[in-house]
Amino acid sequence: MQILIGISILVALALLASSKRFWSWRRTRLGAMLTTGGWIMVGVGFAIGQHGAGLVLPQHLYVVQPLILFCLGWIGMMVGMQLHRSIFKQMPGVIWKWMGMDTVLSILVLGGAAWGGMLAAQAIGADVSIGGTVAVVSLAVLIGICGIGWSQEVRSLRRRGVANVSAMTIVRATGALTSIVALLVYGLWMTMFSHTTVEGGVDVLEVLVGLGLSVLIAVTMGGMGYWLMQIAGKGEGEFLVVLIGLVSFIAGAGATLGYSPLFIAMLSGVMIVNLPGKVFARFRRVILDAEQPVAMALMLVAGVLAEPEIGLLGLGIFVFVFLGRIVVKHVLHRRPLENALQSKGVGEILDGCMRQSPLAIALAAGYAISSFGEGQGGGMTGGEVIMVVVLLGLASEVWPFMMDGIGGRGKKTVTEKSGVKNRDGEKSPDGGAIVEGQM
Amino acid sequence: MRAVASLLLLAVVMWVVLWGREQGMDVAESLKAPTALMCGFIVLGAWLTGRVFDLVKLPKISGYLLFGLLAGPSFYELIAGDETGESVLPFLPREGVKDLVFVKDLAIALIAITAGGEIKFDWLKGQLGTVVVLTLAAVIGVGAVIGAILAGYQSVFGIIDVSQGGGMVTVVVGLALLSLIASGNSPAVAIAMISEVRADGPMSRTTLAVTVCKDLLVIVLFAVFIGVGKGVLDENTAVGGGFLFAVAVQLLGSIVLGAIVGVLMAILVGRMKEHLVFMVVVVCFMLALIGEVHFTLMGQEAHLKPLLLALSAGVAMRNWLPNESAPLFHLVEHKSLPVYCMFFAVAGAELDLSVFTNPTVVGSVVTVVLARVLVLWLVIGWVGKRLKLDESWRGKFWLCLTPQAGVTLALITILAGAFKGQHWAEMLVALLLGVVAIHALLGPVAYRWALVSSGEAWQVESESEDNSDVDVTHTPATEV
Repeated sequence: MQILIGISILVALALLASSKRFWSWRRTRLGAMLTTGGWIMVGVGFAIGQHGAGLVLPQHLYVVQPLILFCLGWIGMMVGMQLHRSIFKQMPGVIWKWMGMDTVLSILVLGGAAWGGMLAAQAIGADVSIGGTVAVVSLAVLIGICGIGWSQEVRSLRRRGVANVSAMTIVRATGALTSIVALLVYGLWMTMFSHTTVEGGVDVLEVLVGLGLSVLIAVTMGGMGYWLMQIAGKGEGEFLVVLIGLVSFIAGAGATLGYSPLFIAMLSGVMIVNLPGKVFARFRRVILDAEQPVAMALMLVAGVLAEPEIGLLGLGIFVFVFLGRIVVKHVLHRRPLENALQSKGVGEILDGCMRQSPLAIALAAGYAISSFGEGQGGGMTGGEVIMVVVLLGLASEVWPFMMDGIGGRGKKTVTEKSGVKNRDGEKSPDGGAIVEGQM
Repeated sequence: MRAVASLLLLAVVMWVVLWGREQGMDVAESLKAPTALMCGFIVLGAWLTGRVFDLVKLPKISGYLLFGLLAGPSFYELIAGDETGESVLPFLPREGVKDLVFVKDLAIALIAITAGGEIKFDWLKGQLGTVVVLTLAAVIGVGAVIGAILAGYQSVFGIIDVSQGGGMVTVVVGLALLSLIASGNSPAVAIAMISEVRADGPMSRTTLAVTVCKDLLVIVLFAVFIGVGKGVLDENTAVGGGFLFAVAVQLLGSIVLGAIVGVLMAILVGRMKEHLVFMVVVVCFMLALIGEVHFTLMGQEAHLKPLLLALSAGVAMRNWLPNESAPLFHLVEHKSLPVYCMFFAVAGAELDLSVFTNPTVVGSVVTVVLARVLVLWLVIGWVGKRLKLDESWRGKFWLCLTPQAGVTLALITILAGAFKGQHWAEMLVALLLGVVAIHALLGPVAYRWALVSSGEAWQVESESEDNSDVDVTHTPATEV
């Protein structure tokens, strides 16, 4: 009966979400922030979850785990589909450099900060010994990976006076590309973690075979999808068969092998989007159009799984990583961004980059439903990791508001002095034209 | 050619993944990951097999079923010659098939809504007498004659094995259940085949109406037979007013609640618009879950019937709020192919081939199958003549009632649970599984032939035919 009430709540929410009033509210700054970040659904998941009304419990989610994997596969494929080969020509070199810098800094600084937080928590009595050094390092790296990139939502930035089209491009396009990198690193991390012993040994051959297998499956299924879409023609039912079948199979294959369904699905997405012809145009459209409901479902799952009692350890990680995030996204990124835009007023844009990518919650949820998340590697369960990532996300969303309050900013306009030019010397349009989706 | 190549490639990739898992790459044993993998595998594999079957003028449904059967555990156990099938790597292990039950529940609700939507009171009013007579003939007439034939067979060969306990009463109960289950046919196949060959006409409409009414009657009679059977065979189970009241409440409650759900759904259709798919899926899950909620009525355990709930919802929507619910039926009609693929593939995977290794059971299976076919032909043919049905389809109508699948398997599962541990019941279940396996695979072939030869196939314009710019190279003939 509980699950029925839970589903009824979901139906009511879906009805609410489809109302005109909700859609107009979404266009406000707060609405854009809350809906694009998925915080509402995280909150709802938490409210109906084990620490709220207790209507939907984690064990209920394990029953529908195939559906959760399907959602992860969908998100992975959507992220992979951003990487069309034309993007290499469209994107200016400065974005690639900046993206590389963000990735390295996030893993090193944020991962290091997480480690620092763990050590600090250990010093005042927290137990981080479970799983040994391997688990501690893995957890730190995971937190670092979750910190890569930023939210691609730009509507709230525009409302804060950031009128520069190039700035939008930078925030959206770099955010999208860093999502791909985040998934790539996450996939490599999960594959490596799968073949790591408690003593810290890594079977390199097994890791390579695992990676090879992942790429082989992704490429084969992507290529086969091309055939299948041709066979399906224009029939709606047949199209759905291919869509559901491919996403389920790819995500399921990844998870069955103990790797990340997000990773293999992303590789397939890259393969699919780069195949010639327009066979996949409809496929791509549907995948992108359904981003919101699929992402919302994952946020809901994250809310249900989130474990609020994070203890000293979680608190330590949160504080250290948040400070690390300010250093990376606000301090270290300032100079390269000023150079790229040839402007000094990049504060608002850096506030935008401060906001955590919604993908981070999908990564944490993917970790939590895997066997790694069921354990207590590094002293934290998957639910606690989700909670830390959610807190980091919320804090980073609140940051721009705090800055407005402290410095009275948000009125300035970043004017377009020169814009960012692509490799052919053409100005890039709004980031949305180059990349789609918010993950 | 591409469909065959894709099917082989899919099998190879699946095998590689399972091989990788066997090599210890999977560290996530508690994860239900294989269920997602299996969902993808069966939906793609069943669809591709259906395409290949379509090329050789066989029903796609048979392709879906055959794919499920070949990928399922029973086939591997048969090859391996043991109960585990460990010497051969199964694509769909037995535990995995059980995990796919949620897909089946969802599919049954969706199919029942569709079937309900096909029942139009306006048409039914004019044909009520015909439908009622045909239904009674197909259930009571066919069941009684099959029972009489099998009683004769019982006296010679002993189709109900009472060698390890039980007497004449056991034989009567067993034969009654056997005959009743043998008289049933699959509403899922009925609706899916009409959709597959886009049939319309008196025979397909009559088939649907009779199948749905039959299903209702068989479910009621089955509940009564099981209750009475348990009452007379088990001293601890009493049959009385409470039992009959519980059955009545379950059936009427399902119909009334289903109708309410249907009206609510129809009202919501206009509001949901872009989220219609979401609404349909959630409602189907809810209907399936309602069936799982057990309660006690006058000392009897009871639960509502998801099939009836969904059927009733479909009937209510189509007949009371036809305009409001039209987008929903359009959606279900055009987007339910993945559900059919999964449902029939899972039904195929559930078929048990082990019965065919026992010569005694095989003899009984063949006897029941032949008796069923013969009796259907004779009884339905005779009744059809009395009812003065149109000659163009009267002689073929009985073939439409031959397929069996999901509902029959569900009844067999209930039978196995009701008489758990009793030897005669175990043998009867094995026999029935064999009968269903044959009718599931061959029934759709006969049904399709009847629809095509009566001229009722391809009467409804397909979605792709509406698109004038469809690439002709994408027609089935050139794809495979």
